[in-house]
Amino acid sequence: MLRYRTQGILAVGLGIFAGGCFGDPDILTDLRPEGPPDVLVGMAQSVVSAEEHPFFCRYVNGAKDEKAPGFVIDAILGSQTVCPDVESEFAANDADPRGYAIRIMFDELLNADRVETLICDEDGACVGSLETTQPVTFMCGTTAVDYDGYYVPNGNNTTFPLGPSLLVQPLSLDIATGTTCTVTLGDNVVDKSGTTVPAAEAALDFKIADLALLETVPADAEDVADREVIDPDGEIEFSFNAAIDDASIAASEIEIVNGAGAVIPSTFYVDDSHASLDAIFVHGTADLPAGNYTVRIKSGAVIEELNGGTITFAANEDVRVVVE
Amino acid sequence: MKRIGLSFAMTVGVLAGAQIVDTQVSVAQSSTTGAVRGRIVDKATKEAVIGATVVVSGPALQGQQAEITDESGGFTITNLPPGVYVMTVFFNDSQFSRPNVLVEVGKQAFVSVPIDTSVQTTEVIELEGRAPIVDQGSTKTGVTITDEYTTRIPVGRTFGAVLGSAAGTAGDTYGTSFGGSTSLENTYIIEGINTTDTSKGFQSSNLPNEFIEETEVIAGGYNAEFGRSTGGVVNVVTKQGGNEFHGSVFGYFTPGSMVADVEPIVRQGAAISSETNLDYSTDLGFEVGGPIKKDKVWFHIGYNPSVRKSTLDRVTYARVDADGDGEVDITDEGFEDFDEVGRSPMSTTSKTHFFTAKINGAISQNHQFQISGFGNPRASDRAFYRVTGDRASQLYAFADGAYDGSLKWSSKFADNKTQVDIVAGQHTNYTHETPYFADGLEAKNIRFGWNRSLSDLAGFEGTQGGGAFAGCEDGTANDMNPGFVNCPVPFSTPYSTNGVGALDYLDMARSSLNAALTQRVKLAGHHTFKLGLDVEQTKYNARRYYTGGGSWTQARRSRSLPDQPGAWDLRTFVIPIPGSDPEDMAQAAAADAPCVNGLALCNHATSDGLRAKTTNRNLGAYLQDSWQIRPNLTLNAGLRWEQQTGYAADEVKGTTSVEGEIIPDVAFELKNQLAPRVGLIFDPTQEGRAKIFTHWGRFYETVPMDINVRAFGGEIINFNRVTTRSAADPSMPGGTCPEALNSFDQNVLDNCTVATKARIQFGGPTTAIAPGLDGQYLDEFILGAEYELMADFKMGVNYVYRDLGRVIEDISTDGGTNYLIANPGESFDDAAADLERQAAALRMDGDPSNDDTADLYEFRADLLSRVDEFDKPIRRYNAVVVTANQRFSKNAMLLASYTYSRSKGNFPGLFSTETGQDDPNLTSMYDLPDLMANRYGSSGLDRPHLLKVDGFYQFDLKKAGNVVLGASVRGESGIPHNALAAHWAYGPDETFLQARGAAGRSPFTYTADIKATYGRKMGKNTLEAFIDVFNLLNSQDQVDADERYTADAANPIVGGDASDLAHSKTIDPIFAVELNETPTYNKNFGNLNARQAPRSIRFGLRYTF
Repeated sequence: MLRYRTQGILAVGLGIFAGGCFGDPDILTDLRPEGPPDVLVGMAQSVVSAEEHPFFCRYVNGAKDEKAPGFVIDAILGSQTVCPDVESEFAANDADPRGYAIRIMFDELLNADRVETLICDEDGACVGSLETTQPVTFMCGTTAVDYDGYYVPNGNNTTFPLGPSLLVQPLSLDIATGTTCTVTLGDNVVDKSGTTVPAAEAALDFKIADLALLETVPADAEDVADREVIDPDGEIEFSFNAAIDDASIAASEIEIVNGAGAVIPSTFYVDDSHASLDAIFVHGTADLPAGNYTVRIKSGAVIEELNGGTITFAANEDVRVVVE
Repeated sequence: MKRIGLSFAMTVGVLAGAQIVDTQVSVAQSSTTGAVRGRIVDKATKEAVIGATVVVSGPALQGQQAEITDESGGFTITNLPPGVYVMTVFFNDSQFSRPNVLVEVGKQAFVSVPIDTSVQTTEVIELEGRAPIVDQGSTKTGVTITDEYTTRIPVGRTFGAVLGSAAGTAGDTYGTSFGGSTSLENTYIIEGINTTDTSKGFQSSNLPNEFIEETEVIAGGYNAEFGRSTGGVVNVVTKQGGNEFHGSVFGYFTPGSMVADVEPIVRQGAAISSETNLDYSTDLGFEVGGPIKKDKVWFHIGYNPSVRKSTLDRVTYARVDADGDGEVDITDEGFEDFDEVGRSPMSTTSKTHFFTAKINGAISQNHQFQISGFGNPRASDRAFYRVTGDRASQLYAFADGAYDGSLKWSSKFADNKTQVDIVAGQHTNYTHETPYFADGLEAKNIRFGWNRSLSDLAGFEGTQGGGAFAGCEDGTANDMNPGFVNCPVPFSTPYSTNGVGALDYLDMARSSLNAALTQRVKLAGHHTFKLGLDVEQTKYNARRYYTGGGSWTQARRSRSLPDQPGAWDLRTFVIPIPGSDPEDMAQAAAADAPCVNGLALCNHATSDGLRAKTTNRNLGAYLQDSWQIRPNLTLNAGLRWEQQTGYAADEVKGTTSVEGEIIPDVAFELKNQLAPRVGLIFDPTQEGRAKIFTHWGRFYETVPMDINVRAFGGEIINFNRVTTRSAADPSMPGGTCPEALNSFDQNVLDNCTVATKARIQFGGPTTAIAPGLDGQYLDEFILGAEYELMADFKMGVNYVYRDLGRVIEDISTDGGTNYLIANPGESFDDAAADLERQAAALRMDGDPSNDDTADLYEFRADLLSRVDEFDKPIRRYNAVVVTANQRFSKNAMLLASYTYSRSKGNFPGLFSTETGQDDPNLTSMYDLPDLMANRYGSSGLDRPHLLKVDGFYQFDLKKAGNVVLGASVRGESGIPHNALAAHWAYGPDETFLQARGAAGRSPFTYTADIKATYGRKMGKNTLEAFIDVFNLLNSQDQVDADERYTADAANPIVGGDASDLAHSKTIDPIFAVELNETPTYNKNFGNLNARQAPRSIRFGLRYTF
């Protein structure tokens, strides 16, 4: 049997070579649990359309907070750039007077049990409620607004809806259009380490949209060929974003004019049978003869909604139709 | 210089006291052969012996190979088939014989032979020695498996079963994972040709161990001659003939009766489940090789048919109320109590015909060729049935397999310093699924996907159902428990009827040509340069179809519309009508559906389905040098270049897209993928007993062709969602879509006149490619050391770091409406700016007909500008590997390893470890930004501890024969688990409610397999009987857990924990709006849903001649 020289040093047992990377990298989609909870976005959600648009975005030295949402995809409701990159490009959106909720998005998870109560049935299905925890103070003008809602720990700045967030749902809509409201985060809005939202960020202002004409049915058309044909006893509908106080409408503010420019006897009524919008319906007092007509809310007309908000028409609001 | 003769004196003497230092040097060789290299020196003076003739011969080599030593006494003999050789040195009329020179595939045995040049004798002086066990010339990690291993260690029947013997490997859903990579990233080379499945990267060709000479399992650290893999490389050489006839006849049998009972998996069940039991598995085969003309032409053939028969029992259960309180009884585990009420067996048989054939020819010593063919076609009768369904929807025929052929030529020139190797190959594999019943092709599958009782479905079972649902009795006069549903079937377990549904008919092929020029140069040491080129033309022809042309699913009850019982989804493939105009009312009325975002009209595909014929062309080239700077210092450096061109399907090439563009032939091109490799090996002992080595390399992926079919094959999947509503509802015109089950009729469904409530489409004629798309690659760094502690025994330790640098994936930056194949996380701003410039130029030219094209370019620029908003892909693997290896000597062999590793990232690889989606580079993992959250964490392939011990000991009973006891022990950490929810559009298990891996880990498991072999000589031949016991201790521990926290749709809770889960809110799957409802908790979440396979016993006989 041959023997080997056994010179040399056993060159084994190097141990772990620390050349690899053992740390966790920064991930774009992660939240930011360091520091106090920051409010990144305030969104006004329309109960009617389910769309959400921002009324507040967090900017630092004029630039969007890196964790604030940019372009967010919503395949159903439509994608949007929630917070532009620079503050000067941001324009606040108003809340829909027909029905709205306020979503407040944070940069980290909250202590869920502090902000939300879970109400569960015998099968273990639960819904969230803010009624007991009351994490915010909700004021519109000098009026305190009762609310409920829930906390959503899900989501980040790329998901729709955004998250984590508080969704605050006012229990009544008896606030005038055009009113500025403030939602102020309370001391029980804390992150998992118990830190509250900085006082400078705790109050969020938003505005309930001014009383506005949403649409007319039929729509107006410049060309005669494009104008809607209505029945002689047909009605023209002016739809608004709030319930109209019919007592605020003077008969002189609405008229029907024929193709020769003559005013035709007309009347109107307010239909409050819809849950989310209200409309003024205008029609002739008698069947209209065939011809071209303009149904008009006159310039200077002031119309008031039931909660006191008003709209002043700076110009004639015309709907041109044809009767055959 | 003396020249050799062809015969030698056979009187042998032993030169006592000679010391031989052998150094096994591994330098990249042909992938099917090895080499011998070394020095002849004078024993006394250590000076080089110049002009000696070195001859190698052996049973694996046709004829002999010889070389004359150079001025340094060195010699190199290449192109040697693996085996054991005798090296004879002729000098001064003396002959020195050195036996037991082991040559392995891809390795070079370095044999340094000191001879006494003063000896003058006609005797052949035999020099004792052994091959060193430390691999000196290569930084490759892995193992080489021969029949020493496969005949003595308990293993599966094919070479695929031995892959797990390499350190750092573990099983995953589709094969064997290497170093944290998914199994679809591996490359499988047999007889020098790439046999990897072209469609997705599976192992498609497989052969029984009896046909295999060597399997080289390369885990990493390999040189530039290997590429197209970001996982491991498996290099297989089949047996060949010889100057003597040799072979074996063998048979195996595994009786199902000796398979241990499966321990039940206790779950909150539904009323229907299954048990699969093996009836038996058996195979009988032979392999034989020999001379057609000695030393000139050899042959080897083999055939091994294999049969596996199993029975699937479909078992139905009913809830129990033993205490009669009107409530379902609850078990100790907290689940509802069920009793079995019916059982229906279904049998399946699978037959595989393994075969091999090889011809080796030697025109001369320096010019040799080889022709080989092999395959593994398989046909399964009634295989892959579903449990929940009537027989018509359960049974379909399944055939798959592969056929391969290769032609190799090898020539040496210039005193063997120059070698040319050429390999041409053809690989074909297929998967054919066809309905089992003759009328099955036209039957549209119907799935009932909402909570109901099995009793509702009894009418579909017919006589073949065996009355399996009879014990349910819900809603009948015999209902013992009217207060609850006896046999509940939740919506997550849809019942199918009327047809099989989705099937594939796939054919894949690869034609390849490889050529390599090896040149040895003596310059400042010894260089072995190798220049190689390879070309592959791959094909993937796919026919994907629904029986009946589509599949109906009755969706679950919508909670936002509690008064409506649900909705139907019709899933079909749709095919765009060329030149169609959705604005044309007549065309729209004649077409089945609008499509491609309303830009075109489509017709539903018939049962013929979607066809796509696609091709790729892959080019590769490499230049490498193995530079032996000093005898104990080697530098391996190389550069590999790869290019891949993917073509659109023939069916869409040249057609006009809905955007008005002509679809080009070339779908994508990945150019100039440069992959450097550099390694260094240092032997501090200078005796070949140790090495310290390091290697760094970049490895590129070759994109499998599934992307050609799915992204460039015109695939559009259409989901028509139609509502059900009461016939009394006056607001909905037209007929009704049936809600009542018993009124079901395919024709009624097909003729639903209810207006489509929603239509969702995925796909399009082609998917856009981001300009400047770059290849997917991985970087690897290895640092290690090995030491030969004693003869034939070594230990080693190495550190491995693997980092996935870039991936190719399809992404959508507009919510799933349009997709783009890009490198997520990387900036495409330059490409976006270029498109913007082109759009601006089109607008400025004043031609309004260009406005649409300008709009298109601006739209695409917008998509491109958002690619970097996706998280960068991360997959990092760190491992420390300790190995112990004893080569077969002193009656024993040992192959052992322990690996500690961590694999973390947000991207597992070419398939999803959560959903199992196997669409390489096209998974859903990167489709939407909102799918990315919580994806970073411990990978689904992360197993911190892997312990492997394989070994055997041979007892020589002299005349009574011999007994070999072999064992294989495995211990491995369990995989981490997740908490998953559905995504409202993408479906189940696509949302990570918590961070990846945050929901615990399956336990550490172990298995022990043993093999006992009794062999007896019968003249020159051997008869062996053996028994394998797999999972000797019948360990049936958990290997997987239910990761579905809820079947409801929800967004991720980023970085959340259990306290956050309790407050999670859901997303309505139909309207995609947030609901103030916590998700329905899956009671089986976190419970085990898979166990280790039970103990089984296999018997075998082998006659070797």
